[in-house]
Amino acid sequence: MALDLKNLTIEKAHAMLVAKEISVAELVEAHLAHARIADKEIHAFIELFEHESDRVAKAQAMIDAGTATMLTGIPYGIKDNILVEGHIASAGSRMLRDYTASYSATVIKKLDAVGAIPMGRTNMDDAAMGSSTESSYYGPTKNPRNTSRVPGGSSGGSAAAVAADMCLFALGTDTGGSVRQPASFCGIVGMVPTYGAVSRSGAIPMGSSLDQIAPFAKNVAEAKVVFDVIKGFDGMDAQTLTQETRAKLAEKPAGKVIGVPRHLLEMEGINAEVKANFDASIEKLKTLGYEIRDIELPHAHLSLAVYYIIMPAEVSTNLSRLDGMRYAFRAPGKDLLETYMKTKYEGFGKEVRRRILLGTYVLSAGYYDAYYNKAIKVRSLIKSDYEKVFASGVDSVLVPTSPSVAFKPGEKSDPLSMYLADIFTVTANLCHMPAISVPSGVDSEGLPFGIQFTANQGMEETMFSIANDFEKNS
Amino acid sequence: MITKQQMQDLAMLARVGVPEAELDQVAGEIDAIVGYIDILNTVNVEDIVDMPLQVNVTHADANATTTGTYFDTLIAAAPDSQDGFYKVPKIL
Repeated sequence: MALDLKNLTIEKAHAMLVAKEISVAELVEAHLAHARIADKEIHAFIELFEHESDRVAKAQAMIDAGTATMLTGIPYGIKDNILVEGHIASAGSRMLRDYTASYSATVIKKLDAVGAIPMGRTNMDDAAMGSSTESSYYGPTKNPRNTSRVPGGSSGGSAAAVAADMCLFALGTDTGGSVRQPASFCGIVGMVPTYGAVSRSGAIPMGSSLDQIAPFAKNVAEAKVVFDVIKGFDGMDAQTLTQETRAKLAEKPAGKVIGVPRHLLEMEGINAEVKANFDASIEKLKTLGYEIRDIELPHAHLSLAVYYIIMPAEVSTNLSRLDGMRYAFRAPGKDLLETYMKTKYEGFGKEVRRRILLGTYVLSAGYYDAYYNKAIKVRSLIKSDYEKVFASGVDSVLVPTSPSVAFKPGEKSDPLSMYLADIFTVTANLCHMPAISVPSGVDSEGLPFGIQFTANQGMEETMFSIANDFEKNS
Repeated sequence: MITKQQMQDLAMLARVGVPEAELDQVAGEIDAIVGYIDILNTVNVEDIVDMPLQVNVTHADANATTTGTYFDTLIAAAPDSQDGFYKVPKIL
């Protein structure tokens, strides 16, 4: 039978699998067949996994035995910086082009345990650095909603794969908005969990005080289903939260108060249609019975500057291990020093090299206090702004996901203008809060808008509940 | 302004090659970003005691696998190897 992939969701596919209307093999093959054709134009995948028959058989056995759960047999995309044993994980980079994972990430093991089927590795900006997926070593991905636009980034391939119905959900990583912003550009749902909710073991690190693995899905409920499977303490990621800590964090009252920091919308560079859409979203929330409260976050406008100190500092530290000695790419030079210099020059693209240099700069002896030390102090000021707002009874802070809709390739050629695309998303990572981007309509050219709900640490349930209300009434 | 010499020093410190022909451009880009992050100089942080979001967490250093389990896999991943050893450029 021909499957209507466009309208297929995890829930519908699950019902069909359990009712034996389709088999796991048929469901997976339908998505692969569609991807083989559609991806010639979109380029969401770097590689499709064509030989997962063991996993398919195991999932079918779970269904036949009546032990299937919602994700059993469901095909999903994996950002190319998350390890799947036996498969290449290149992080979209020449540096790791031939690197084969010797183990699977904890999130992949958890998804294996419930019988989900990895469908391929998705395209991304070089080493997850970028907001458009243009800097991938494998070439750019196109936005399925309008192929003359970028899909966002850095997890642009995962967003495009779900938006183009090539898989039913996908994993990305979010360091400063790399799941939420592409979700917004492609008209789907994307989130970042509370820092420490999901194990990063097996994810190629970028900024370790910021990184999280997170799902893309076609709707809020299904993003929650994936999050519930991949979350949890893991001894392999020392920053993961224990069950007790998570339970304690979630012990806060939850209501229907939305905080709106209008002053942030007055910053430069925010598109007029985005502002109008934001206002319309506020009106909608009012009609749904939410109380809208104006709030002040006096230091939030500094988030992007703080982020572009802390993130490159952590990048320069994390990426120093990729020196061409024990694994990955090596460009031989006349001596050891030249080998290091050439390896990083040839192995990484311009943006990655720029961030390593910037990170080295802000951490160097003469500038450490002026930049890095100052940034971590302002980071704590931003965090205390949010703590005050949540303590005053606000349940979620509302901002647009991105200051613009999906832009055109090449439009943001200078680094700083590309960085400004992250202005509304970096705060959640800096303050370790969960946030979710939900589609909120389209602009005059039919390009999707996204609205972002941020909640207090550990309050994913509240965040999902509000986002779900908003989505159901769209 | 970052000078050409500073840019070369930075490249050396970071072990990232920056060819002579690209020095000015990269220095200009770093300058523009540093110009943006200088906004933090408008904030007085003198009285702020840093409240670290994260603390170091250590865990028991137990052997997760038997020695040798991944030996061949890891050596195979090396850019160069010989007789089961990593082969790297001469250090001295």
